[in-house]
Amino acid sequence: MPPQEPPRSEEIIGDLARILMITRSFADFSEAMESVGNCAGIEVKAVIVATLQLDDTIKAKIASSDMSVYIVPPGETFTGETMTDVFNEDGTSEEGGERNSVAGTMEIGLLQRTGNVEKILRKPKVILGRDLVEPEGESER
Amino acid sequence: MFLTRVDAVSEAEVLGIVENLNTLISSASGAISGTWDQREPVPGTLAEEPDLKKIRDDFGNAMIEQIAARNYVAVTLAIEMALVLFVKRVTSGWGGGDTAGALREIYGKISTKGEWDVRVRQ
Repeated sequence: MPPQEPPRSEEIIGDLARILMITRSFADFSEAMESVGNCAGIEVKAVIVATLQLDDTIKAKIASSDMSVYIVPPGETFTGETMTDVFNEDGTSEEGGERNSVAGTMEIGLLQRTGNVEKILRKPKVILGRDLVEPEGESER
Repeated sequence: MFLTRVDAVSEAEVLGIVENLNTLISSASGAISGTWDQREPVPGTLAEEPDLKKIRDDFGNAMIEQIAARNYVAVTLAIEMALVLFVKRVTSGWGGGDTAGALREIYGKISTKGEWDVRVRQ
Protein backbone atom coordinates (compact mmCIF):
# COMPACT_ATOMS: atom_id res chain seq x y z
CA MET A 1 0.00 0.00 0.00
CA PRO A 2 1.51 3.34 -0.98
CA PRO A 3 1.94 6.00 1.70
CA GLN A 4 -1.16 8.10 2.24
CA GLU A 5 -1.51 11.61 0.94
CA PRO A 6 -0.98 14.19 3.67
CA PRO A 7 -4.35 15.19 5.10
CA ARG A 8 -5.76 18.53 4.01
CA SER A 9 -7.45 20.82 6.47
CA GLU A 10 -10.36 21.39 4.04
CA GLU A 11 -11.32 17.71 4.35
CA ILE A 12 -11.43 17.84 8.13
CA ILE A 13 -13.22 21.17 8.16
CA GLY A 14 -15.76 19.57 5.80
CA ASP A 15 -16.30 16.67 8.23
CA LEU A 16 -16.83 19.13 11.08
CA ALA A 17 -19.18 21.28 9.01
CA ARG A 18 -21.29 18.17 8.19
CA ILE A 19 -21.80 17.59 11.90
CA LEU A 20 -22.78 21.22 12.46
CA MET A 21 -25.28 21.08 9.60
CA ILE A 22 -27.27 18.63 11.72
CA THR A 23 -27.69 21.31 14.40
CA ARG A 24 -29.51 23.43 11.76
CA SER A 25 -27.29 26.38 12.59
CA PHE A 26 -26.41 27.16 8.98
CA ALA A 27 -28.42 27.85 5.88
CA ASP A 28 -26.15 25.78 3.68
CA PHE A 29 -23.00 23.66 3.73
CA SER A 30 -20.68 26.32 2.29
CA GLU A 31 -21.68 28.69 5.09
CA ALA A 32 -20.87 26.01 7.67
CA MET A 33 -17.50 25.34 6.01
CA GLU A 34 -16.66 29.03 5.96
CA SER A 35 -17.66 29.50 9.58
CA VAL A 36 -15.62 26.54 10.83
CA GLY A 37 -12.65 27.62 8.72
CA ASN A 38 -12.79 31.18 10.03
CA CYS A 39 -13.26 30.26 13.68
CA ALA A 40 -11.12 27.16 13.97
CA GLY A 41 -8.92 26.92 10.86
CA ILE A 42 -5.75 27.62 12.83
CA GLU A 43 -6.68 25.09 15.51
CA VAL A 44 -7.49 22.43 12.91
CA LYS A 45 -4.12 22.96 11.22
CA ALA A 46 -2.42 22.63 14.60
CA VAL A 47 -4.20 19.28 15.12
CA ILE A 48 -2.99 18.09 11.71
CA VAL A 49 0.61 19.10 12.44
CA ALA A 50 0.55 17.38 15.85
CA THR A 51 -1.05 14.27 14.33
CA LEU A 52 1.69 13.99 11.72
CA GLN A 53 4.28 14.48 14.45
CA LEU A 54 2.72 11.66 16.48
CA ASP A 55 2.49 9.46 13.39
CA ASP A 56 6.17 10.00 12.58
CA THR A 57 7.17 9.41 16.20
CA ILE A 58 5.35 6.12 16.78
CA LYS A 59 6.20 4.70 13.35
CA ALA A 60 9.76 5.86 12.84
CA LYS A 61 11.25 6.88 16.17
CA ILE A 62 9.98 4.12 18.42
CA ALA A 63 11.52 0.83 17.41
CA SER A 64 11.54 -1.23 20.60
CA SER A 65 7.76 -1.66 20.65
CA ASP A 66 4.66 -0.95 18.58
CA MET A 67 2.70 2.03 19.78
CA SER A 68 -0.71 2.92 18.50
CA VAL A 69 -3.45 5.43 19.16
CA TYR A 70 -6.08 3.82 21.35
CA ILE A 71 -9.72 4.90 21.14
CA VAL A 72 -12.93 3.23 22.27
CA PRO A 73 -15.65 2.69 19.65
CA PRO A 74 -19.16 3.89 20.53
CA GLY A 75 -21.29 1.18 22.11
CA GLU A 76 -18.55 -0.56 24.09
CA THR A 77 -19.21 -1.15 27.76
CA PHE A 78 -17.28 1.07 30.14
CA THR A 79 -14.43 -0.55 32.03
CA GLY A 80 -12.24 1.50 34.32
CA GLU A 81 -9.22 -0.63 33.58
CA THR A 82 -8.94 0.51 29.99
CA MET A 83 -10.63 3.92 29.85
CA THR A 84 -11.47 6.98 31.92
CA ASP A 85 -14.95 8.50 32.27
CA VAL A 86 -14.43 12.17 31.41
CA PHE A 87 -17.15 13.20 33.89
CA ASN A 88 -15.87 10.97 36.66
CA GLU A 89 -12.11 10.88 36.46
CA ASP A 90 -11.59 9.53 39.95
CA GLY A 91 -12.51 6.15 38.51
CA THR A 92 -15.56 5.38 40.61
CA SER A 93 -17.93 5.00 37.64
CA GLU A 94 -20.15 1.98 37.86
CA GLU A 95 -19.12 -0.60 35.27
CA GLY A 96 -21.31 -2.58 32.91
CA GLY A 97 -24.95 -2.17 31.96
CA GLU A 98 -26.60 -0.42 29.07
CA ARG A 99 -26.44 2.98 30.77
CA ASN A 100 -22.68 2.67 30.92
CA SER A 101 -22.04 2.12 27.25
CA VAL A 102 -19.52 4.46 25.67
CA ALA A 103 -20.97 7.26 23.52
CA GLY A 104 -17.58 8.29 22.20
CA THR A 105 -13.93 9.05 22.84
CA MET A 106 -12.96 12.66 23.61
CA GLU A 107 -9.26 12.17 24.28
CA ILE A 108 -7.03 9.64 22.61
CA GLY A 109 -5.12 7.03 24.55
CA LEU A 110 -1.86 5.27 23.74
CA LEU A 111 -1.34 1.53 23.52
CA GLN A 112 2.04 -0.17 23.59
CA ARG A 113 2.61 -3.67 22.29
CA THR A 114 5.88 -5.46 22.95
CA GLY A 115 5.80 -8.97 21.55
CA ASN A 116 2.48 -10.35 22.74
CA VAL A 117 2.23 -8.06 25.74
CA GLU A 118 -0.08 -5.05 25.53
CA LYS A 119 0.12 -2.14 27.94
CA ILE A 120 -2.04 0.96 28.02
CA LEU A 121 0.32 3.88 28.46
CA ARG A 122 -2.52 6.38 28.52
CA LYS A 123 -6.19 5.58 28.89
CA PRO A 124 -8.59 7.24 26.43
CA LYS A 125 -11.17 9.55 28.00
CA VAL A 126 -14.74 8.71 27.06
CA ILE A 127 -18.25 10.04 27.53
CA LEU A 128 -20.89 7.54 28.56
CA GLY A 129 -24.26 7.41 26.85
CA ARG A 130 -26.10 8.33 30.06
CA ASP A 131 -24.24 11.65 30.16
CA LEU A 132 -25.44 12.69 26.71
CA VAL A 133 -29.04 13.13 27.74
CA GLU A 134 -29.77 16.60 29.05
CA PRO A 135 -32.52 17.35 31.58
CA GLU A 136 -35.94 18.02 30.06
CA GLY A 137 -36.24 21.48 28.55
CA GLU A 138 -32.52 22.14 28.15
CA SER A 139 -31.92 20.33 24.89
CA GLU A 140 -33.24 23.08 22.62
CA ARG A 141 -30.91 26.03 22.74
CA MET B 1 23.55 -11.85 14.63
CA PHE B 2 21.17 -9.92 16.83
CA LEU B 3 19.47 -6.59 16.62
CA THR B 4 19.21 -4.08 19.41
CA ARG B 5 16.36 -1.75 18.72
CA VAL B 6 17.04 1.79 19.82
CA ASP B 7 14.27 4.32 20.32
CA ALA B 8 15.00 7.85 19.15
CA VAL B 9 12.54 9.27 21.67
CA SER B 10 11.48 8.25 25.16
CA GLU B 11 8.08 6.92 26.20
CA ALA B 12 7.53 10.13 28.16
CA GLU B 13 8.14 12.20 25.03
CA VAL B 14 5.53 10.21 23.09
CA LEU B 15 3.06 10.70 25.92
CA GLY B 16 3.85 14.41 25.85
CA ILE B 17 2.95 14.54 22.15
CA VAL B 18 -0.32 12.71 22.88
CA GLU B 19 -1.18 15.13 25.70
CA ASN B 20 -0.44 18.10 23.45
CA LEU B 21 -2.61 16.61 20.72
CA ASN B 22 -5.50 16.12 23.14
CA THR B 23 -5.14 19.75 24.25
CA LEU B 24 -5.22 20.91 20.63
CA ILE B 25 -8.31 18.80 19.90
CA SER B 26 -10.07 20.34 22.89
CA SER B 27 -9.01 23.80 21.77
CA ALA B 28 -10.31 23.21 18.23
CA SER B 29 -13.58 21.93 19.65
CA GLY B 30 -13.92 25.02 21.83
CA ALA B 31 -13.32 27.30 18.85
CA ILE B 32 -15.90 25.42 16.78
CA SER B 33 -18.56 25.62 19.49
CA GLY B 34 -18.60 29.38 18.92
CA THR B 35 -19.67 28.84 15.32
CA TRP B 36 -23.04 27.25 16.10
CA ASP B 37 -23.98 27.58 19.76
CA GLN B 38 -25.27 31.17 19.61
CA ARG B 39 -27.11 30.76 16.31
CA GLU B 40 -30.81 30.16 16.17
CA PRO B 41 -31.82 27.03 14.23
CA VAL B 42 -32.43 27.77 10.57
CA PRO B 43 -35.79 26.33 9.52
CA GLY B 44 -35.77 23.75 6.78
CA THR B 45 -32.05 23.07 6.55
CA LEU B 46 -32.23 19.48 7.77
CA ALA B 47 -33.19 18.46 4.25
CA GLU B 48 -29.84 19.77 3.07
CA GLU B 49 -27.71 17.66 5.38
CA PRO B 50 -24.85 16.45 3.26
CA ASP B 51 -23.67 12.85 3.47
CA LEU B 52 -25.15 11.77 6.79
CA LYS B 53 -24.16 8.15 6.20
CA LYS B 54 -20.53 8.73 7.16
CA ILE B 55 -21.59 10.46 10.36
CA ARG B 56 -24.09 7.68 11.14
CA ASP B 57 -21.39 5.09 10.58
CA ASP B 58 -19.00 6.90 12.90
CA PHE B 59 -21.38 7.97 15.64
CA GLY B 60 -24.62 5.97 15.42
CA ASN B 61 -28.25 7.08 15.19
CA ALA B 62 -28.64 8.00 18.88
CA MET B 63 -25.85 10.51 18.54
CA ILE B 64 -27.36 12.00 15.39
CA GLU B 65 -30.62 12.52 17.28
CA GLN B 66 -28.84 14.30 20.09
CA ILE B 67 -26.93 16.53 17.66
CA ALA B 68 -30.17 17.34 15.86
CA ALA B 69 -31.65 18.29 19.25
CA ARG B 70 -28.71 20.71 19.62
CA ASN B 71 -27.52 18.95 22.75
CA TYR B 72 -24.34 20.87 23.55
CA VAL B 73 -22.51 17.90 25.10
CA ALA B 74 -23.38 15.69 22.12
CA VAL B 75 -22.25 18.26 19.55
CA THR B 76 -19.01 18.85 21.44
CA LEU B 77 -18.44 15.11 21.67
CA ALA B 78 -19.13 14.68 17.95
CA ILE B 79 -16.64 17.41 17.05
CA GLU B 80 -13.98 15.93 19.31
CA MET B 81 -14.74 12.43 18.02
CA ALA B 82 -14.34 13.60 14.44
CA LEU B 83 -10.88 14.92 15.30
CA VAL B 84 -10.02 11.82 17.35
CA LEU B 85 -11.09 9.58 14.45
CA PHE B 86 -8.95 11.68 12.13
CA VAL B 87 -5.92 11.07 14.36
CA LYS B 88 -6.69 7.35 14.47
CA ARG B 89 -7.14 7.17 10.70
CA VAL B 90 -3.87 8.97 9.95
CA THR B 91 -1.81 7.05 12.49
CA SER B 92 -3.31 3.70 11.49
CA GLY B 93 -2.47 4.45 7.85
CA TRP B 94 -0.19 1.85 6.44
CA GLY B 95 0.76 -0.91 8.85
CA GLY B 96 -2.66 -1.50 10.28
CA GLY B 97 -1.77 -4.53 12.35
CA ASP B 98 -1.72 -7.18 9.64
CA THR B 99 1.43 -9.19 9.09
CA ALA B 100 2.29 -7.66 5.75
CA GLY B 101 1.65 -4.23 7.19
CA ALA B 102 3.84 -4.97 10.19
CA LEU B 103 6.64 -6.09 7.90
CA ARG B 104 6.30 -2.95 5.82
CA GLU B 105 6.48 -0.94 8.99
CA ILE B 106 9.64 -2.72 10.11
CA TYR B 107 11.26 -2.34 6.72
CA GLY B 108 10.16 1.25 6.70
CA LYS B 109 11.87 1.83 10.01
CA ILE B 110 15.07 0.26 8.77
CA SER B 111 15.10 1.87 5.36
CA THR B 112 13.97 5.36 6.24
CA LYS B 113 15.82 5.77 9.51
CA GLY B 114 19.33 4.81 10.47
CA GLU B 115 18.37 4.53 14.08
CA TRP B 116 18.55 0.80 14.52
CA ASP B 117 21.71 -0.30 16.22
CA VAL B 118 22.64 -3.33 14.14
CA ARG B 119 25.43 -5.47 15.56
CA VAL B 120 26.88 -8.64 14.14
CA ARG B 121 28.19 -11.32 16.44
CA GLN B 122 30.42 -13.97 14.88
